[in-house]
Amino acid sequence: MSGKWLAWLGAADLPEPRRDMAAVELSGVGKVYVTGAGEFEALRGVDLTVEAGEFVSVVGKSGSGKSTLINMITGIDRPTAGTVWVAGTPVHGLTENQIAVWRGRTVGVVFQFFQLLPTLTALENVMLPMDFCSVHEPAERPERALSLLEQVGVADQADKLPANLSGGQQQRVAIARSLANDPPLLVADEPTGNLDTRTASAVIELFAALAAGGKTILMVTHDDDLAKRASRILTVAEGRIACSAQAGEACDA
Amino acid sequence: MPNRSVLSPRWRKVWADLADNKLRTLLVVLSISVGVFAVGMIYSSYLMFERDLDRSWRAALPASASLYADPFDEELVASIRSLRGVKEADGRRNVDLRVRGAGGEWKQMFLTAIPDYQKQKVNVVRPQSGAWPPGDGDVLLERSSLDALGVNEGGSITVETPAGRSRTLKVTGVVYDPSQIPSMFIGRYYGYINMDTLEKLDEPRMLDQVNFVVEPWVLKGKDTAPIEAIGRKAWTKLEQGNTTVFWLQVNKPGEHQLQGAINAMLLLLAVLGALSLCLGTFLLINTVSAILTQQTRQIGIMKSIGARRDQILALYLALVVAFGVLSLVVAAPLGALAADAVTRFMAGIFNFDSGGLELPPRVLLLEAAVAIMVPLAAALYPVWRGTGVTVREAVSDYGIGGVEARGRVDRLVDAALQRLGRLQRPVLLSLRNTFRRKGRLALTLLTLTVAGTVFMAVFAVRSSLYSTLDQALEYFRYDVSITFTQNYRSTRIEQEVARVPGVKAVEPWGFTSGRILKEDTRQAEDEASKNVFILAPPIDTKMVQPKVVEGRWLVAGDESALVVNTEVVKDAPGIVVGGPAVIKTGNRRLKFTVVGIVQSTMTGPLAYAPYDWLSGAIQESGRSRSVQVVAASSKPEDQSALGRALEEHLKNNSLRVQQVDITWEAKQRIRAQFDIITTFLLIMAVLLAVVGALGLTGTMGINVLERTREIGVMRAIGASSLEIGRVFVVEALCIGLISWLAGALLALPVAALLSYQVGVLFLQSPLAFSFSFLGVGIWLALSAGLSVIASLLPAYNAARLSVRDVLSYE
Repeated sequence: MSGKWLAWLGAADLPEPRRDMAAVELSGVGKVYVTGAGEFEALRGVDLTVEAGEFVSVVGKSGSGKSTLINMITGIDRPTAGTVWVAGTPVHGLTENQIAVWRGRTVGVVFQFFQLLPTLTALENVMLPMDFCSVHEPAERPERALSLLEQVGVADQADKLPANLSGGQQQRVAIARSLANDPPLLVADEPTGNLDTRTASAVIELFAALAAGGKTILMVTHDDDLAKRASRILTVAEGRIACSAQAGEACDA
Repeated sequence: MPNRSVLSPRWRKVWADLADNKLRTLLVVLSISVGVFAVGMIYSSYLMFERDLDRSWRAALPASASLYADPFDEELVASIRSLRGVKEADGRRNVDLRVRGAGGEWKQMFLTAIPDYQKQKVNVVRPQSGAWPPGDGDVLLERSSLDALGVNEGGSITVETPAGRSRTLKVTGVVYDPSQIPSMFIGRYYGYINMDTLEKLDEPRMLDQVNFVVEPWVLKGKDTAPIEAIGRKAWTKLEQGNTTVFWLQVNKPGEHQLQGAINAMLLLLAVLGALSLCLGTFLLINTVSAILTQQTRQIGIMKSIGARRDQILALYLALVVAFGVLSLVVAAPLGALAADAVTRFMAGIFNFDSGGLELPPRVLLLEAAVAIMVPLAAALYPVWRGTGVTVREAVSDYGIGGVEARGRVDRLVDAALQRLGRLQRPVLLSLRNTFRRKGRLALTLLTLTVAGTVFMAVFAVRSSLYSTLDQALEYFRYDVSITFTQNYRSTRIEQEVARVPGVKAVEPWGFTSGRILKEDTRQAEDEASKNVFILAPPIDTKMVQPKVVEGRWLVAGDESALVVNTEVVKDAPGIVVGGPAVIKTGNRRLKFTVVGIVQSTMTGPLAYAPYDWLSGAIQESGRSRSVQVVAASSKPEDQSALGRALEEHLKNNSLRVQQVDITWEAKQRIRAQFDIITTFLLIMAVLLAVVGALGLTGTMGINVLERTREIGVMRAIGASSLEIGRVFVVEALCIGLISWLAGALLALPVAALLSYQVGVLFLQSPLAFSFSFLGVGIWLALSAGLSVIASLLPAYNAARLSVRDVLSYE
C-alpha cells in the first residue's frame, strides 16, 4: 500500500518532531487568496518565533491578517509561501489527515462561538478529542474529561447539553475540550468576543494560569485591556507583524 | 460522578443524530423500508409460491400430457402405457354436463369418473373430507367448486345427462385436484364419480381421456417437443383402436400450468419493487446530503480537534447503516406477513395449499443487503463530498441557506414567471424557492415523476387489457353461444331458438376439430400441429368480424376454402395463403386451400371453413353442433336471462345442450382475472406514490430547516404564520404539478412498453394499447393532494418558529 493511501487512511506516521526548535517558528510566511475581485494578500512574509510557555496575544484591525496568521499555526489554512514549524513539526508539509492527527495531539483550538457539538453533553464534548486521537485509555477518558471541567470550573454542568449552558460556561467547556489531549499549544481566536466583561476576564485568568503551568498560548483579541494581560502582544497590520512587545512595554513601531 | 454513556462520544453523536430528529429518521427509515418491504415481500412470495405450488402440484404426480378422445376401453390405455418413453398412464372418463346450482340456474359441470381411486398414478385426486372413494350415485366435489356451487357436504346436486335426463347425485365429500384450473378461472365446476355412477348417467363404462407421464430420459429441460412427439404416437395408437382423438394437451415439464403466469406477475412486481427501492434511495441521498450540509460546521469542529476524514466518514456511514438496520427491523416482518397474505390469496385463487408463514434466511439476507448495502452505496458520494470540507471552509461558512449561482435554469424560471404576470410576492418566493436547490429538486422530481409515470402506466395497462378483451369479444358478434351434445338439423335449431322471446338473430354453425398435417400422408400424422378448432359459419355470417391480415375472408362459392388465424400459422408455419392445408379430423383427412389469414384475439388456434362444404365433408350435411344468438336487448341481465330461457326451451324440446356461453358473463370472468393483475400492479404503484410523498415531505422538511433564518427575517418584517406556511405549501404544490406534467408525458411510452410486456407475458401477444386519461386525472388529484399533505408538517414547523428561535439557530 502506498504512503499516499496510508496517509488517506490516517495510518501514516507523523514526522518525528525536532527538539531544537521553538514552540512556533514562522519564516517568510505569505498567504494569497484568489477571489472574484482578484488576488488578496492576507499575509506578507511573516517571521515569528514563540517560545514554549509564552502567553501571546495577537491584536489588529479587522482584515489585518491576525486570524489568517493563527490559522497558519493551527494548520487550518496553508501558506502560499514560507514555512510553518509548530512544536518541531513542519505543518506546511503535512497532508490534510496528518494535520488533523497532529492538531488533535499538539494544538488545542478555542473559537469565538465556542463550537461545541450541540447533540453531545459537556462531558462528551471534552471526551471527543480523546476519542478521535486515542490518546488516553477509554476507561480513563471520563475521569480526565471531568477533571478538565473541574479545572475550568464547570464540572457541575458536565451532563448538560450546550444549549442549556450560558456563553461563559460553553467557552469554559470549549477550553476544557482544547486541553483534552494535553497539547503543548493553545490557540484561541477571539475567545472572549461573545462574553460579558466579567466572564471574559475569568477566561483570560484561566489562560494565564495555563501558561504558568507550561502551555504556550496564542490568543487573537480585539480587546486591548485583555491583550495586555498576556506576556507578549503582537500587533498585525496589513498582513505583517507591525509590532511585538513584551507586557508593559510600549510598541516601537 | 456524571452519568456515563456506554457509547463513546463519537458514537453518541451518531445516536443523537438518529434520535434527536425523529421526523427525519422516520421519513428516511420509511422510505428505505418501502423498498425493502417490496423486495422482501416479492422474493418471499416467490419462494413460498415455489414451495407451495410445487408441493401441491408434485404431490398430484402431474401428467406430462393428456389426450381427449371418443370413448375407448382400458386396453388402449395399456397400449399407451407400453409405448417407449411412457412411464405411467391412467385413463378416466369426463362427462361435460349441466348442473343445477343452489340458485336454480344451470351451470357447466365436468364430472370425472376414475376406474380405481385407490390406484391412481397420474393427476392424482386426493380426499379432503367426507367419503372416499365415491360410492354409487355419489359425487365428490372439487374444493374450488364447492362455494361457487352453493352446495355443502351431505347435500345433493341435480345434473342433466347428455341424453337429457335429470339425475340427482349426493355430495358425500370434497376432494382436491391440483391438475384442474380452478373453477373461478374457467367458469365450470368439477365433480368426481365412480364407474357405476357413470352408467346411471346413461354413459357407457368407457374412458375418454388418458393422462401419461414420460420417462425422465425423454425430457430435455423445459422443452415440450419430446412430450409432444410421444403424444402424437399415443394419438396414433388411439386412432388405430378406432377412436377419434380431439385434443392433445402437453404440459411444460416440471411446471404448474399457471406457473408461467405467476412468474410473469412476480417478475413485473419485482421490477416495480426494485423501482421503489431506487426511489427510496433518492430520498436517502437527499437527506444525507442535507445532514452533511447542515453539519458542515460540526465536521469542521471535529477536524479541528483531531478527527481524520475517515473517522468522520465512518460516523456518517454508521448513521446510514443505522437507518438501514431500522428499516430492516420495520420491513422484514411486514414483508413476511404481506408475502404470507399474498400467498394465501393466490393459493385461494389458484387452488393450491399454502404452507404458512416462513421467513427463509436467504430472504432476510437479501433484505439486509438491500436495506444496508444499497443506502450505504448511495450515501457514499454525498458523505465523501461532505466530509471533505476543510476546517477553514467549515468555520467561515455556515453551509446553510446559501443560494447557488444563478444559471440558465434560473433565467428560464425568471422568464416564465415574468410571463405569468403579476404574482403575489409570497407566491413568487415559493416558485423561485422551488428551483433553488437544483440537485435536491431533481431527485425529488425524479422520485415523484417515476411514481406518477408507473401509476398512470398501470391504469393504461388496465385499460389496454379491457380494450383487448373488448376487441376479442367484438370479433364474435353474438351474445349467447349454445353447444349441443350432438349435431342437429340446422333448420330445427333455428326454428326452436327463434321461438324464444328476446332473440334478434340466429346462426347455426358447424364445428369440428383436428390437427394440421404437413402433407396428405400417414407419416405426416406423427408431426401434426396442435389441436385446431374449425368453425363453419354460414358464408354470409353477420356474427364474425374478422380482421384479415393476409388474403381474404370466405366468400359465396367457396368450397374447400380455409381461413386460419395467426395462432394457427404460429404452430404450423408451412401454412401460406394460396397453399394447401390438410387437416386430420377423426379418421378423415380433409384437404383445403388456404384463402386468408385473420388476426387471432385471445382465442387460440382457430380455422374457418364454409358451412356447406365442411358439413358435407364430415357427413353432417344440413346439421349443426352449435348455435349463435344475438339478443334483442343489450342489457347484460337480459342476455343472461335469454341464455337461461334458451337452455330451458331447447331442453324441453329434446335438443341436448352441452354448454351455454353468455358473452358478457365470460367478459366479466376474464375481467376479474385481469383485475388480479392490475390490482397487484396498482398496489405497487401506490407504494411508489408513498415513497414519492415521503420524498417530498423530506425535501420540504430540509428546505424549512435550511431557510430558518429567512423565515425569521420574514417574521421580522411582518409575515403571519399562515403566509409562512403558504410559501412552503405552494412550493410543494409546484413540485407536485411539475412531476405530474413530466409523469404524464413519460407515461405514454412507458405505458405502451408495459402493456406490450404484460400482453406478451400473460396473453402471449401484445395488448390492444389504450391510454387511460382517467389515470392521468387521478394522478393529478393525487399528486396535488400528496403535495399539500407532504408540505403541511414542514409548513407548520416553519410557521411555528419565532424570531427569537431563529436568532438562536445555528
